[in-house]
Amino acid sequence: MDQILEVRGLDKSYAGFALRGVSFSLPRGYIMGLIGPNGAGKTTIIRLLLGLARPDGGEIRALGLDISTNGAIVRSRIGFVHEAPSFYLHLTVAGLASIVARFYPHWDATVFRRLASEFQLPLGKRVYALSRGMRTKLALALALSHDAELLVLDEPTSGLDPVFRRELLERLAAYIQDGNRSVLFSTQITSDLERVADYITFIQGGQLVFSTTRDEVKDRWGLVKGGLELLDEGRRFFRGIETSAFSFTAVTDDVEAARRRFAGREVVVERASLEDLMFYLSRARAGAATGEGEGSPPGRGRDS
Amino acid sequence: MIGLLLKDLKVGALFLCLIGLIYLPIVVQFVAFGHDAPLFLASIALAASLVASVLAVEWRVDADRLLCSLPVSRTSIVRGRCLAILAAGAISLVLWVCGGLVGDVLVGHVGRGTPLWATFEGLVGFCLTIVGLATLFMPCYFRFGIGKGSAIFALLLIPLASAEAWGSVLVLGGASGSASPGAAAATVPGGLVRYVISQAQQELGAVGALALFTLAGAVLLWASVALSIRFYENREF
Repeated sequence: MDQILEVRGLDKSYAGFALRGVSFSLPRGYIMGLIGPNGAGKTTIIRLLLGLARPDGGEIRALGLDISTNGAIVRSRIGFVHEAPSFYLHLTVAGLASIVARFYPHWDATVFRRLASEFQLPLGKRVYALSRGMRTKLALALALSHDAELLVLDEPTSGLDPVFRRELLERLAAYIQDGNRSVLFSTQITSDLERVADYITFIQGGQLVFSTTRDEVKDRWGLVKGGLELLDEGRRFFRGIETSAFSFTAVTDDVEAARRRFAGREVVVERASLEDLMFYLSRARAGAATGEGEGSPPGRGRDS
Repeated sequence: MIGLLLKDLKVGALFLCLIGLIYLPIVVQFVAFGHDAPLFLASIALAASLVASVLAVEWRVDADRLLCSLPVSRTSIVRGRCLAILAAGAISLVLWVCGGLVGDVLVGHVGRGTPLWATFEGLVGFCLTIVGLATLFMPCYFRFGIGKGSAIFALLLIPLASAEAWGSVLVLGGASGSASPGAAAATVPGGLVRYVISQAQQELGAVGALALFTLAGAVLLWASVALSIRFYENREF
């Protein structure tokens, strides 16, 4: 499969945080959701991808090119939306677009005007007068107006109303329809990804937990609920456990094995949502860090 | 690079108008009273204000992150910024000369000879001052950003300006006494620079001196841009 984005063994250290050996790839024509709790390293990965920071180790190839040596060329073919877009506030929407347009060889002013109209962005309005949601729309219109092959969105839906959020997701689905374009979508609103993502990459504490198709996440990961007396029997299947006085809820990455193990017992095995995964795996990690955790901590770097 | 320059001009256009509104009455006032040196300094300050206002806007909106995520290399960003600083200097130079001309027409001379903006040493001195400031400022800015970079720039500038002032007193004090050519420059701030220019003009002729100072300015800017590129390549946003 033609990979539009390949990340291999990515390392980056800051004081108090380290991204360690992160590897994943995104094929052309798909949407990948990048998820993880706050401080997991999602934004760091995106900054490294855009050349805003330099990796300590590893490699990022986008559109078949190594970004460390072809950064500007790669960026001309990437559309980017940041969570808090940085714009010249005193310029008008049209003025800002005219500045950005100069840098992109495939800028299409007609597309920008059409998107501005669809997003109800007044071209003559100054950027400072736009709400946060409107600024995100402006960033999206700029990102979509130069025929980008890869869209990189960092928490784009925060600050957007539910109506536009849904519309954005529909747009993203339409955007990749030609099979040549892809989207890397970092978010904490996992319900958005349940709707549109084909691949899910889960980062936690700077390490890759998994990177695989959404269908495989659905098939392999599950929630197991049962009485406390059964907990020890299932520990080796569990990656994160929450207990109460009489029962436990655990997340497993081998739902079939858990089903077989507890067949005929009073245990419920059900599908885990992405939010469940984030919650239980984060709990497990926090527990492992304090020495009170239960279940095998995530972050084993398995790349499916 | 041109795109970056145009971007800076567009961002700075509003500030050019605002600063220009303050600058013009100053020009008229200084011309009216024959204050050449303060007008020279005010024009240098105009260039600095233009640069500072654009950089302040960029700092306010975290524009480095925006710029570095555009399809443009860090090298181009540094060169574009250098061009923009020189453009601010050129705008100030034009306003200085035009302001001086208009002021002279409106209020006439007040008992003085050739105004500074019409002399070789004045014009070359202006350009060299802009180039010198840009040379010093850019590495500070690209290494540390606008906040810390400006502070370090100021710390470096103060001893240099002091040295120039003391040099003017020490060198030109003696030169004035011996009625040396160009000694009149000692009467105004930045006099040592202009004294050196007038001496070079005497020795090499106008064309030779211009070539010498153009070469010196180009070398300074080249070194400053090279160092700035190196610093900026290592910045993270």
